[in-house]
Amino acid sequence: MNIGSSINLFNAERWFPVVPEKKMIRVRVYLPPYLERPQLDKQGYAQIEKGSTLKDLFLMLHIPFSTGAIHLCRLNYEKASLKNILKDGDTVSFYSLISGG
Amino acid sequence: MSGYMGKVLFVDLNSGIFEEKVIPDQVYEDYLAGVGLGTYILTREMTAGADPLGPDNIIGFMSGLLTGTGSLLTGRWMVVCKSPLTGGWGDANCGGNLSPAIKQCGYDGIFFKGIAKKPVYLVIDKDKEPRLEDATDLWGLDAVETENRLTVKHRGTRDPAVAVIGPAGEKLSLIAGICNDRGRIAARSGVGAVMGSKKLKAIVLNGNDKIDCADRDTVRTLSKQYAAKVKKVSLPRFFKGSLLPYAGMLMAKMKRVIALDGMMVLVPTLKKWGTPMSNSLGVTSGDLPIKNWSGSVLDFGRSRYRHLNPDLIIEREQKNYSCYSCVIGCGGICRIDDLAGGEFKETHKPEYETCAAFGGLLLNSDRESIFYINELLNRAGMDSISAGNTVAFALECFENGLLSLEDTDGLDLKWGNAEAIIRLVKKMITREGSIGELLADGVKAAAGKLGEKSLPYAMHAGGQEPGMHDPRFDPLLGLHFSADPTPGRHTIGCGQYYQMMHLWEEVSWAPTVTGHNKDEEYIASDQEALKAVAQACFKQVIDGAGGCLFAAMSGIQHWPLFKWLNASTGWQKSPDQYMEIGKRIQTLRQQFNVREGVEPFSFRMPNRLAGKPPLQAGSLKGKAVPINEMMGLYWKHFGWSTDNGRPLAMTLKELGL
Repeated sequence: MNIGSSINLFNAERWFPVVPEKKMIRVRVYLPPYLERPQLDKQGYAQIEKGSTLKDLFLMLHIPFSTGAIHLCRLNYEKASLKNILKDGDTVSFYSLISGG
Repeated sequence: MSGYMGKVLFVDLNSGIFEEKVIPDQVYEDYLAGVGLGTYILTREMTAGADPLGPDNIIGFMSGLLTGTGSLLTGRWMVVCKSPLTGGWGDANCGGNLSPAIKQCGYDGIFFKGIAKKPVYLVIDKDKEPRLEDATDLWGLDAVETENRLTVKHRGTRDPAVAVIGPAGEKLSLIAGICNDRGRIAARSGVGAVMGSKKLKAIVLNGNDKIDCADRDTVRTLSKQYAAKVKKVSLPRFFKGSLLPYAGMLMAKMKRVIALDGMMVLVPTLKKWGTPMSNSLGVTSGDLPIKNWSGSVLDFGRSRYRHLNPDLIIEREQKNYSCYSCVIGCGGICRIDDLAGGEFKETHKPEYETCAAFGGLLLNSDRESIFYINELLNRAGMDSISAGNTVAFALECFENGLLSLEDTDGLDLKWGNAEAIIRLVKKMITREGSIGELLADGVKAAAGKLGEKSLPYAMHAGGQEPGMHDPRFDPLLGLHFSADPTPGRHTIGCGQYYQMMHLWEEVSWAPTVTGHNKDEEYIASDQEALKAVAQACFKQVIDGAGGCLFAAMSGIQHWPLFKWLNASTGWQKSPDQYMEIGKRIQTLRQQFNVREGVEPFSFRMPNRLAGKPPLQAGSLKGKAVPINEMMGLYWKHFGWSTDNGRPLAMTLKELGL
């Protein structure tokens, strides 16, 4: 019996499936000053799976009351809905109030 | 030569001689225009030790390098001189429509030296030589009336741009400013007194020279991008003024410092309310000083601050306006014909500084009195920050028995007594009575006359009354109050501005804000000092360009100042190189002070503002600012002596000074 044939019959892909690498995108996030931001890198970017929506981002960042928070949120400074799909380099920002000036 | 005009005008008021001076291109590359160019010229042209109110002082009206190039929020004009208030470098900054008019006359700056024999004003018309005209019949008129008359007299195909002094400047009040647009004022450093000392009542500008720009297409593209963002960001309708105190309470409890998006945090609130958006928010956060800097929200609670709700301020607003090249439009004109027997028809919307200085600082919740005082001071040409601080000083002296009813000409100077406050302001403007004369020159002069017992109530830094933001809330503010060559300024920088400016995105050495504890701001550290140095350098670049501080606070990632500078001039400088220019200008301003005999440490803010002793109540309870140590670190990072703040010889050499 040909050993090479035996290996072919083994079907490595069945036992060691190749998981396609998730494509990630970077989205710039400016959180309101009252929220923590451990998921953001030093430049203020979040890494999230390509094809994610704004709602997915809110969940990842633990932003509470997403249905209300969306009204305070702008995607690339335009109004957005939770269903908006994010693209690499997008900016997500929130209205907030601070003193000073 | 693009962006700048390449020359300045000197006017000798003694002789009436006009002299144009061409400025080499390299000077603009080293100092930009605006305050930078003004610093360069004054240090060379003005003799050391000049009397600030004497003939040897020089006063300059400056435009910014970017003004008129098509860039946005770059229409500020500046005044430079030796300050009679601090004895050192003086400058003041203002918006409106004067800045492009200076360049349209063919100059980057117009300087005056000497003293005229009788009151005069300068006129520059297109196609005519500059000339001085008799201002005898204008002397004594208020700033608005003067501007109205000059506008009518010199109107051509369009109205001229006019800058004037009011009675406060004529009477040499050390807290007088220079006014334009019937209610804007270059208020600080006592610049109005300098203009008044020269018997110069006004300047009237009506030129039409073209302002060149090296790459107008790039400038326009960048401007369109910025304008588009500003247009899109508007607060949702449910954001009412009544929510602001709650935002302030949240701010007071914030334990983390993070990077903020100024485009979403500041710009929308300015569009909706203008600066009064901080009126009540500042009380609950602790930012707004209460009761001559000695109180808290417990002294000025909801029953009081609710009357200063910005929704109630803009209720009177009849129209909104923008300064030259501004797309935010935080200005407004308010109706006040129902106040004080209809004495005035309208006033500019009172800025936060005025609302705070005559509101919480005096425990005054009478909103209508603030509108009225706003117009009184605008017409008088008096700095409302300084005036408010001076009134607060008087109230505290009265409370503690240092001023009697006889001393105050019968005015019952109790906290919150709006009627007495109004009458006192009128006396200060005209120097009427002993109390008017005592207070007309600001806190330091008044305390000097009242004696040592009044010193604990005298809130000033080096003679300049501080802006309406509490260093115990934002320690970097206290550092700029104390360490800047023009002390007491809230417009140089602070922690919150830094969080919004995002300088670290373009300047290699500016510390990055990634998120740290708020407590770290109360510790003297290299990190905090570098932030302050970065802001101070950047402010000089802004002032050299003619930029607006609010634009800078929207964030450098949005407002492309460095790119505009390169596109307008054809230079190819990096942000770090522009910051080096800012460092040069700042060091020269400091060196000017040293030359004039000012000891930098003398600008240290008073103990009360440093939290020594700390407040016992409110959101700032227990807060203290290690200001001495912070000043030393700031000086170190500027390359100045950590002992006395004097620029080191090595630093001067490196900067070519």
